[in-house]
Amino acid sequence: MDMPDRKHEGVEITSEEWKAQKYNITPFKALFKFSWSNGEAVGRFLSELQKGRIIGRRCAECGRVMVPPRMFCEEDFSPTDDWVYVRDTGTIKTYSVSYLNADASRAKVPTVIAVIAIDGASEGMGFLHIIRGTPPEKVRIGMKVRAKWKPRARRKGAITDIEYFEAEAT
Amino acid sequence: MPSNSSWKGAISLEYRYTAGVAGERFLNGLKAGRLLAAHCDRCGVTYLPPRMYCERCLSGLKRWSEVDRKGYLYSYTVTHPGRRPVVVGLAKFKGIEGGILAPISVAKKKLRIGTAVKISIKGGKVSLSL
Repeated sequence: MDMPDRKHEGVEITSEEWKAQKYNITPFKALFKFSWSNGEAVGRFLSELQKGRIIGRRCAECGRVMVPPRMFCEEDFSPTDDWVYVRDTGTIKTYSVSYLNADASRAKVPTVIAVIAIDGASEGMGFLHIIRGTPPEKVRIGMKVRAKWKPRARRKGAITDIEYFEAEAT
Repeated sequence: MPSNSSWKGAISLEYRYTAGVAGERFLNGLKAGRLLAAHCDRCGVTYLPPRMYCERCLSGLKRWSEVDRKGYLYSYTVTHPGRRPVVVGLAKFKGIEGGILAPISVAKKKLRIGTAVKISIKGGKVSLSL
């Protein structure tokens, strides 16, 4: 009853062996639940998204309107001063065509992800979102886009309350 | 409107654990109704569960044999995985390092540390009884 004479190294499991369940494999599943405190600014931002509006925060010192909002201006080291509604339109600053699904598998239909500068917010302010309705090869930096909101009943206080952004009708 | 003071989410993690070369052989032994241990002749140590190599001298453990099933209860505890409590005991064996952790089909109040336990293997699973 001796161990086979081999080096003390791992044994590679081939995909055929894996599929045939050749080895004793124990499956495990864990669900890590978390609750992330949004803070005052992002909490309000999400509540406003649920109402179908995008809100920012203005700093009186530098005059910037920040989207997403923050309670503190990182340039002036001072608390920001008031809430400002901005528009649900914007400009594509940069974008990427992704062929990956959420589980890292290859997607047949690509998703266009863009950084969108929101109209009414200061230069460079905005967020990342999905672009739909325009073929990836037609998407351009500088393209004007508009938020496509989910129906009110389906909104839940998340950035995905905006389903996607689409090219603004010219 | 619900409060948006916190963002709740869950990260699902799924994975599969492989027992390794020695673990695989040990589990296959259990499936065949055998409780296997590995011996290090150099250190005079017998490992249960069996390992690929001795953790003292790092030499490969080539000699495996069945464990004499006369074990003793080293420790026990009551777990509550579901509605019914499950008593789990750690059985050890004279001259063997390590042991076997397995459910015991005996009420907690009847258990005494050091008492002799019987090891049964059914369908690759180990259980303990008095």
